[in-house]
Amino acid sequence: MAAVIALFAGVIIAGSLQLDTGWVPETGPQAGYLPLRLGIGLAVISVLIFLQMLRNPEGGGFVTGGQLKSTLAIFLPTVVLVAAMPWLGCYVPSWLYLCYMIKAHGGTGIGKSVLVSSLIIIAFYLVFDLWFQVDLAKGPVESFLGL
Amino acid sequence: MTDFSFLWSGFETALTLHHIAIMIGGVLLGILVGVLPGLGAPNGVTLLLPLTFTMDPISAIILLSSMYWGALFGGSTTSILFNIPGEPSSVATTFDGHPMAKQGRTEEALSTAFLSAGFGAFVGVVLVTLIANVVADFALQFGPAEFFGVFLLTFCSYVGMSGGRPLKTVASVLIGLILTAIGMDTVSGEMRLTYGTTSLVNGVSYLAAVIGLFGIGELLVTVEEGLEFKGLKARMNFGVIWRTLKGMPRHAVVLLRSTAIGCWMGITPGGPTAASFMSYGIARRFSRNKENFGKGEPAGVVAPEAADHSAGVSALLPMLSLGIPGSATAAVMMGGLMIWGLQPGPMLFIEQPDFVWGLIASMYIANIVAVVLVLSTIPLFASILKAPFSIIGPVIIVVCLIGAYTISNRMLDVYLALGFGVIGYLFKKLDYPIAPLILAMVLGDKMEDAFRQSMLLSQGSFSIFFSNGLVSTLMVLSILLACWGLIPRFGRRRAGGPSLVEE
Repeated sequence: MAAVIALFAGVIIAGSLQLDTGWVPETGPQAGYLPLRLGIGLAVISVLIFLQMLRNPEGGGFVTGGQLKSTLAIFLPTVVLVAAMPWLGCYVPSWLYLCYMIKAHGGTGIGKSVLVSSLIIIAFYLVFDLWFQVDLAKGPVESFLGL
Repeated sequence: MTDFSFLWSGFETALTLHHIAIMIGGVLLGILVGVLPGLGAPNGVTLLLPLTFTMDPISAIILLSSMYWGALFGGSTTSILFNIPGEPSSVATTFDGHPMAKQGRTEEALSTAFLSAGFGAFVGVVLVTLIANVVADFALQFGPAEFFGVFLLTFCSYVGMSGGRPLKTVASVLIGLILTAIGMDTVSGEMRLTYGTTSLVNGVSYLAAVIGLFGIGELLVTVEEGLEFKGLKARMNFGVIWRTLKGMPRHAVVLLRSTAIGCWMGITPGGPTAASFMSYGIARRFSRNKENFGKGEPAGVVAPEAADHSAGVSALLPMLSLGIPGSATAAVMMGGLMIWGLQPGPMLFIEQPDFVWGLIASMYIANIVAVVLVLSTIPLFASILKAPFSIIGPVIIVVCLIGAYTISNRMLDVYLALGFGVIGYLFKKLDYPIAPLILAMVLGDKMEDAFRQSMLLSQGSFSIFFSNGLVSTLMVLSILLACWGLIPRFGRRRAGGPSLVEE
């Protein structure tokens, strides 16, 4: 984690160096002044955290294989869902996602999981598009249905 | 002192049928997000926020704040029934609440929790009523340097109260501050840290961050722990509630002390979570039957609940009067205020008295509504959790992602929410605090503006931060708090000293 933070700090420092990081006597700091200082501060902190970790190392890994597996089982389909949203809109991928998740993790039959996810998606449509009139992203399927 | 005619007209605003209906809806939604794991007050309010853009501000804030109160109640319910805190701030309630429920004293535990919470919330509102105006008047004298001092004090008090992880808190604050710097510079209009992309011009939305960090991140952790609701039946009968109410004076000392701690932690940005742990620890240390704690001692429910709610309510005081939120949820609400075109801070009391006092009056009513609703509907909400997690979990994720999209109808926020979800997961696993990051993201721009404006005033000299008694006091206090967090902890940890809350 300390290494990740240090990397992030490095990117920030590099980014702020492209700006004017100076200090003009009349107007004080320029645009890049604070981001650069904050980035350096973060880099220092990451080193300190690393040192602290060396001094009292906490035994054991931070996830077990089984835990990682169940987390990834949720996380990876979610990544696919997010990746599909720009092309297919919000509704269709969400519906497929719910069908898959309820089927795969709940151990229910196909019919039931399709039914449950359809009900949920219809509820979403009612709440967002009709009730609060927030237009969610639509894809080709919605335009085909004329929604 | 407060002019009560303002409060009176506030009640006239809040006590309309429309607003009462909004309160009931808000509280019910709040209990729902409070009960569901992975959804809590901060991201419940965030998800609802885009839907309020078309409402008028007073109805919108009543909806959001009612949701906040409902979520605080809902969180403690799951702590007691399922030993799963629905909110981070109700973790301390599990220590004694769940054992009580296991002994078959479910109703007693729930009604004790709700009544102490109601008391804490009430004291919090009274406090807000009495001193919000005074604080705002005082803050009218503040210049940019003083505001910078207050912001600094806010962050330093997080570091000072971080309970053995000051470095991680500092890292969290710095990351938040850096993230707000992304996008257009508010002073010069230059693009900062966008790395040549156009999508980052508008900056990183803190709402997406809240959804990711609190929603998706938390859910990933929950999944990993292998969630199973082996809950106890929730029933409610009014005989037990009445008996608990009559028994409350026995806990008067604990109740008052915890409420005081809660109010203090709410006004200073310690937040409800720290408040509930702290008052639980103190209640145990000073209790006569110390050995009963952790085995179902009612005082162990009273303490965290009263502190949690009084902190939650009084967190709105600095938000309204200074423009500094006292908790993550208050931070999101403050962002909402700014989106509705209101500027939180001392001027709000002068420019928008209807809004401020309508909100304060609604806090009295909404908390009464919340206690009544939570006592009568808890069996219903508890039964929602009987639905398998394989349905609830994915639905929560979809709600979070769609919520991220509704912030400003762009896909970038959805990607960001997912990315923050991963960060939130790592933060949770490695014990980094999340709330300071959110606070830094909300306050970052204002803090930088205050800093740069003071530098303009002083023509680039730091002496402005020590130019008068007020600002010097703020600066010295900040430095002291930061030192208190950073320096002695190293020594104490080496000695293996006691932490605030012993498991």
